[in-house]
Amino acid sequence: MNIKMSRLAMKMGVITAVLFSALGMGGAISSAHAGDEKTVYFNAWGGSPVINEYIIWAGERLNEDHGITIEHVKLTDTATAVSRILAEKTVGRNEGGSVDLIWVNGENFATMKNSGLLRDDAWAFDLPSWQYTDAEALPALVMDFGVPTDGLESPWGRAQLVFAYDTAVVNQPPRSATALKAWVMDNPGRFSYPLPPDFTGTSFLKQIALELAKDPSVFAQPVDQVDADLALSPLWDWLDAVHPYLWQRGKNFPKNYTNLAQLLGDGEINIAMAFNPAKFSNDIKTGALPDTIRTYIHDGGTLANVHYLAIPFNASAPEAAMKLADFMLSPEAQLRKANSDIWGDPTVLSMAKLSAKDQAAFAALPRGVATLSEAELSQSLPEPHPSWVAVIEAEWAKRYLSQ
Amino acid sequence: MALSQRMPPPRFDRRAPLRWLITALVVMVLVGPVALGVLGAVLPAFGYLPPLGGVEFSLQPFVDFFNLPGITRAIILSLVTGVVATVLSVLLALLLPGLLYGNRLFGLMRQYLAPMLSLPHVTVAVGLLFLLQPSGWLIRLISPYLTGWERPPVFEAIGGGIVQDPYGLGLVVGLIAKEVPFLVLLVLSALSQINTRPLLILGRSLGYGPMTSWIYLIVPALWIRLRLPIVIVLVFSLSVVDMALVLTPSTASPLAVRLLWLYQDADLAMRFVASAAAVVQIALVIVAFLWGWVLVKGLSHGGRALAFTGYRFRRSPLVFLKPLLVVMALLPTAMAALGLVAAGLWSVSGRWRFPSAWPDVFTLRHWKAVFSGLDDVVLTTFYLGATVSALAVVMVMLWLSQKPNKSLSMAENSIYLPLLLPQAGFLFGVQIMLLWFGLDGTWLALIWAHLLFVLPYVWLSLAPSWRSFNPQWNMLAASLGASPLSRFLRVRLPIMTLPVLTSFAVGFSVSAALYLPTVFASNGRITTLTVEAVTLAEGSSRSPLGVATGLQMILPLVIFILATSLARLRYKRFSYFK
Repeated sequence: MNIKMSRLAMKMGVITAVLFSALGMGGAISSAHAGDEKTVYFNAWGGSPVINEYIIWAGERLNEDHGITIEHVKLTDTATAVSRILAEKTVGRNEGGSVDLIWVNGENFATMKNSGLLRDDAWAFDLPSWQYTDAEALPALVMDFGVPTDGLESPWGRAQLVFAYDTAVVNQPPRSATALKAWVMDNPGRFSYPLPPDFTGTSFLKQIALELAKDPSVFAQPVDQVDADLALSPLWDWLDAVHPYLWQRGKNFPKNYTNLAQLLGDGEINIAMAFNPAKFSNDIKTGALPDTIRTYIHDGGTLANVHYLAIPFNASAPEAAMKLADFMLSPEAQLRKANSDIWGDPTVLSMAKLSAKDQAAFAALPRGVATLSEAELSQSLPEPHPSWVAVIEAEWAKRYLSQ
Repeated sequence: MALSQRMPPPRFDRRAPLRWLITALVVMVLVGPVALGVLGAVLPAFGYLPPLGGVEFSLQPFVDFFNLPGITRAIILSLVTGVVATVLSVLLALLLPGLLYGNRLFGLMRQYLAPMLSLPHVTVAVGLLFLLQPSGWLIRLISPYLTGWERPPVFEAIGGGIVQDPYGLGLVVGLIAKEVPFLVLLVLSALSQINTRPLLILGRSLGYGPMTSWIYLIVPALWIRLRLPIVIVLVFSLSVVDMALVLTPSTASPLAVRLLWLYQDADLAMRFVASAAAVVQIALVIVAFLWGWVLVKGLSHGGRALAFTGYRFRRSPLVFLKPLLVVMALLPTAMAALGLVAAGLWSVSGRWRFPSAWPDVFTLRHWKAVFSGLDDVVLTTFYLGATVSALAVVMVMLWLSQKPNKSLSMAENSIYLPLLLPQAGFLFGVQIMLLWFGLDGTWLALIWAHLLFVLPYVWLSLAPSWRSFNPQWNMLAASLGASPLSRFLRVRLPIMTLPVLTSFAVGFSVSAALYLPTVFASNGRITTLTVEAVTLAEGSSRSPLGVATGLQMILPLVIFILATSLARLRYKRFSYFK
């Protein structure tokens, strides 16, 4: 390289540097103007690659149809986004908020509804795709953990807690809380559950509490109207007995069900769980799990619920967010979501309201080797009132976070 | 000195306003926001935050904070891991070059440690995780042949696992893996500023062994030049979040992680408690700093006394420690590197059953999936890093081109402020401010937040070589009639190509590695690879994490290699100017 060329290179370097700075600043200025109405900041739990890929697909489809872009803000805990919106409301930002659409249900929905954090014009009932649902046949579409949705959120999918075990090492899976306790104590280090407040972890606690309760009906009431200590004491006794025998002695917990499934695949644990009946079939298909994995539910049934999409009161792109929520509820998107090769999240649509073609397509969906049939899944438990979540999580932290 | 004393009193300097402008800018961009950030953390800690209804001062947030479950343990864990990691890193970094001095390994050390510097902390942590888990690569490599394990073992004695142990050992190893290369490289650069070889020869000629000479003559000289980086390492180790998220068990997290959880709690009242936590975090740093200060005073007095006795360490246990020290210094880094190979393997594995040593099925599926999902993230990381680093390099160059005066040197000291405060301590307050001004989640906020941390590192990397420039070249050029601008562009810049490009690469890797500042300033709207990797490390299967880690590793490394090889290419022409 001669001096002339090197001088040129240096100039190029300086120009590049200036260019980058200008670029960054340009970006800064353009995004400082809030309210880009064609970009939906979709705040959704981001711990599952299959779900993330599904959201990418939805984004591409929406871009084709409406020129709308989806930015998936991957959350580790949905409460983070709820607290951010609450902070925005508190400092008086009534428009140009950072969240356009949020994936919620249960406790987070109840919090947002009570704090006035949601767009409140019952938009969900006006979506074109709402016609394919049947809230009379499936009341959970309008009752989220016992709290009326009032059209503040649009249903997205259904979920049920299922357990998975490795048939290569477990002969008979334990089909109740009591049997599970005995199994864990016989197989130290081979069971765990996601760290509450992860939703699967908290759901597991609720499941055990419901199973052990003398009178499960107390859980349908708000927590402050009953003797919560009494209702929850069987749960804490159960956990106290089981924790020393958990994976890593109950000192360390996987962060979510994806982590848990990884541990199952590695053989570190032998029983796992997920809030998606098709999760394990999906993982067998991709090779993440061995094909000796099968699923089961507890004899008394397991927790089942519906998850939703909601728009915050101060969303920057509410119209585009509605387009996305509507698309997510459409037969096309629901069909792809229910495919266990893609995600395997059961649909919220009513078959009777679909066209013959769509009905046939749903009927033809692969079910997956480890997925239970609809009949086997029919035993379900209702979610406790959302107010229980905070109490269970706080007490859990007090008991097991401090050691 | 004598010359300057005879100089007439300075006339009005027409460039003085520029210097004041730079100073003012630094204060506005760096010091002001940081100070406000601290204030934004301190006021709510005492109950004052009007937007959230806190209008009266009280100590309630501290009461609530100390009543949190397991918080004492978290504080102790932070303090112990931070201090142990720092003391070990410093000790190893000061002694390792002495142990290897004159050895063939000495040259190799520089070559292999420099790229480690460009690796984000969380990447190193993920590497260790991939290697050391009970189902990690290490155990897969030796199972079942050596161990007989057909399933991952359960290590009862140490709480079940190896990494993510409740005592923070994994975190300490991770910190050492990252800080030893950082400090060793600074030691190497300091060695070139002192008369290392003559000093060592002097020591030898007085009958001291090489290591004794090193400890008595070189270490004190190094110490003076390393004080600041050591404090930076201490502060970082005490308040690290991303590494701790990966390497500590979820029920025993250090204070900085608990602070983040408090901040993210859905209950806004927890913000007050989070502020109290931030204040405690700052106090922790001060306590640790005072400990360190006392320790160092004691050591230097003891060392001096020992030196006066002429003690020669012959037949001392230190001789046997030599190989152990080398292993201790290099093992964590080597393990992290090996773990990153494992991460690479996971990123292309379609199926990898335990205890197979290698993936059973290879696939590019995960990389393909990434290119439809992470391409934006890669671009964001690249633009952000390049912009921030270029800005920082230009700022530092402009600044260094000014004649030093009082206000400039004050500004120079304040540039380190963001590194001397625990990140979570003031970023939390900064976030509240950004929200107030409606700047959260904008590129402007993100660039500025990154600049806070990139600028001091660029300064650390560029300033020494910039100042070692021989001013006679400038005089020579001036005597040939070159204007100040052309002297800068045609003489100084070309000679300084290597340091300038290296500092650019350093700035880029710092930016690419920032976790907490990105999370706080972007408000979740702008994602970089590090944020993505932490999200994936916290809860995902290994293959996508392997891909994110691979990308995170490659990007700064490519910039680093490009910058240094480009500079070396040019440097060849100019090397005789040095």
